[in-house]
Amino acid sequence: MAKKKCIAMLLAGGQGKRLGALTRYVAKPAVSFGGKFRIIDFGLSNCVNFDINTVGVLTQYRPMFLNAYIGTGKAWDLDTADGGVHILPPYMSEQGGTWYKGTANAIYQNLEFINSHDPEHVLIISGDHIYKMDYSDLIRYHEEMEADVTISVIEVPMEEASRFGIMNTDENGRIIEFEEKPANPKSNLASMGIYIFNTKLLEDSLTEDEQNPDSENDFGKNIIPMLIERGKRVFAYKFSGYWKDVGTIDSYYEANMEMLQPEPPFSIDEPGYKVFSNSNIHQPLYIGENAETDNSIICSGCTIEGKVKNSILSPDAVVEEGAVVVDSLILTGAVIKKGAYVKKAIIGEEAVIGEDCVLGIETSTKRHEAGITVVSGHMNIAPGTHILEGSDVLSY
Amino acid sequence: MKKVMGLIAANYSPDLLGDLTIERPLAAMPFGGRYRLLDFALSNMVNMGIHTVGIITPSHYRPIMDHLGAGKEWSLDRKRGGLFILPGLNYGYRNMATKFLLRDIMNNMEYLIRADEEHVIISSANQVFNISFEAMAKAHIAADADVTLLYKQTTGFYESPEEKIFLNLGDAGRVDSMSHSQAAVKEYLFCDVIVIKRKLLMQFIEWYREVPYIDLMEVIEQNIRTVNVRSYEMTGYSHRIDSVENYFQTSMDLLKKEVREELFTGERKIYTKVRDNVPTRYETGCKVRNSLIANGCIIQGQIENSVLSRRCVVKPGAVVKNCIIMQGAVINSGAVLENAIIDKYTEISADTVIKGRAEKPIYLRKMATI
Repeated sequence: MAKKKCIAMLLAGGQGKRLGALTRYVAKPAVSFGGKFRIIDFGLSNCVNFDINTVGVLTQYRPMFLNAYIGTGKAWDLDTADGGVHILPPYMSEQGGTWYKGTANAIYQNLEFINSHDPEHVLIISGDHIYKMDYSDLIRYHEEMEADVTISVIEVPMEEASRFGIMNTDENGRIIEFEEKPANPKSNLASMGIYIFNTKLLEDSLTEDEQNPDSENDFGKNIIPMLIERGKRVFAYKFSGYWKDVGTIDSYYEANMEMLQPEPPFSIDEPGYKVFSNSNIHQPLYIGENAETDNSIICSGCTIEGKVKNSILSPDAVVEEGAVVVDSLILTGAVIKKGAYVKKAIIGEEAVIGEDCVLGIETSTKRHEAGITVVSGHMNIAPGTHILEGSDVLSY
Repeated sequence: MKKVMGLIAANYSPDLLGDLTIERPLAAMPFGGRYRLLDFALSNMVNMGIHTVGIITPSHYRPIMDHLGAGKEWSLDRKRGGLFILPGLNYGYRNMATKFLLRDIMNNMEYLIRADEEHVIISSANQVFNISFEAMAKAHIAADADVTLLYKQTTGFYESPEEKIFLNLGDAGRVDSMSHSQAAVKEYLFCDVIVIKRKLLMQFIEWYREVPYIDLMEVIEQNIRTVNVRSYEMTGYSHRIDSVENYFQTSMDLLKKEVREELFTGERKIYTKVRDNVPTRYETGCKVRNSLIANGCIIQGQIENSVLSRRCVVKPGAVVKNCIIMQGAVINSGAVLENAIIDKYTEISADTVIKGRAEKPIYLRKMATI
């Protein structure tokens, strides 16, 4: 196989515990986003749009749907002969086998895959970020700086910096110190969890880290600090576009809702850039005689007979007559029955909200900070049920 | 259904829809916001579990090729079988009654010779229907028929019956004869789908080598006494698109729930090219009633009883009523459209008023600026 400039390793194995009910049946990267997309679409589309045609997807938690969704990668044009998408689950070998212990261990277990492509660089990205990034700019920067590792960083508001992994750099952009969630941050450059490594260094440092029984085998916690300490050339690449970690219910909801703004901060509809997704075949959506739609994004396959306001509806969702959906995300195939009222809620895939249910109106102690009610996928909420604002409704 | 291969005649009557079909063959006519007419015949074939389909193309076949590509949306990008593009003739171009010229098939004999399927299912490409071709093929095989013709019972008189074929049925669904005139309200109208033994089809071509500009239906008619010709009834929703008026009417039928359910939401899906458009945005102030809307649109104005294709823009204050709006059209503020068919990428300037009649919709051609 021809030597590759760069291949990508996409970390998609995390459970996404903080997404609660939404990741009950699917891994975080497979959660719907922006109506017709799934979170992993953004990472995969970035690769395709910006010339990386070999992607290893590391899966672990509830991979069934995610694997089926990725398939051969043809929805992203990744079904090419010299490259394509490869699903990499944990495996057994003659020494036995283990689950992926941390992000670094996941890559370590797949060094054979990386070496089979013999790339100059390895790009490590995660499957739970919403952003558009031209990776070739990152690679160019990495080469110009003659860096060993380059970490993509974004400026965050100083008061929020203590929630992130913060990079302290010198005047040339070289990282001199890395602090995970510092109480008193010295800078506001937050790691985006996007790394580019020279392949040899990646292999060596992962192999070494594996020998350390105290290590958590995590890039942010172990590998990066170790390399900085050793005086390796670790650089920060400042990214200035839109980037959002949608790892919590609140940030997931907020990022979705931003798409409804008159000028969305993240424009996914630009010439020359396309977010690909593995769409099923849906008919066009139907809007009925007495329906009302106001400031909403509604996907194909939906049937709207009721009222929809400030909401995003994924494909095949149904809002029956007399039902009202406000400030909500209705995921694929969910049904809001007659007369139900759904406010500020996330309704999981294929869930059914029975007739005359009321969701998210009555106040409670608010489990989620922003008072978002979440109903997990495939739930069937009995007619007339009232669900308090901010609840997490799961099936057991 | 490994015993059956498909053949779609996408090359006939390509200009039936007047200006709408100047630049595109009838088979590639956009329909229902995101489909093209060809999708129905092709999906019906794929849904019967066959993996080999040949498409006979007309001279201006670019829109068909653009739509089909390698056939991956229909799972026809196969190593064994798959999608075959069979260049057709210009003959029969203006002959509305022609359905399946033998010459077209003869020109693509390789397709039949190299196959090992026992039967061929042949369909036109301008019919809106979702039926089980599998059931039809099974009936054909069970009856050990040489030819099986699809028909439906008519419920009224046709305006131009001479262009149609009516079947006279005998015992056990046998077709005794055919006629080109309609004697009664209730007749058996041939619906442009044939299942035929592959060997027999090849034999017909051999026999009629000297008179190749003959229609397969004429050949069947001439041999009706010696070959076992059976019929298979189609029930449920189906429409042959052969005029602007019935294109308009059939599109509007999609606004009926029972029609949509029959065509689109059952087990047999209608496949079409996937475009990866963003979802449609419904902005504050928009008013949409009883309409079908594809992905990628921006809706700010008022829409009623209409079908919109992908990536249309309806600006604030624009009113769209009883219209078919094709891909990428822009309706500017204050424009009022009623009973109109707006072709692709047409832009309607602000405050323009265009009103057709329901029985005679106005058509605005592709890429025009009005």
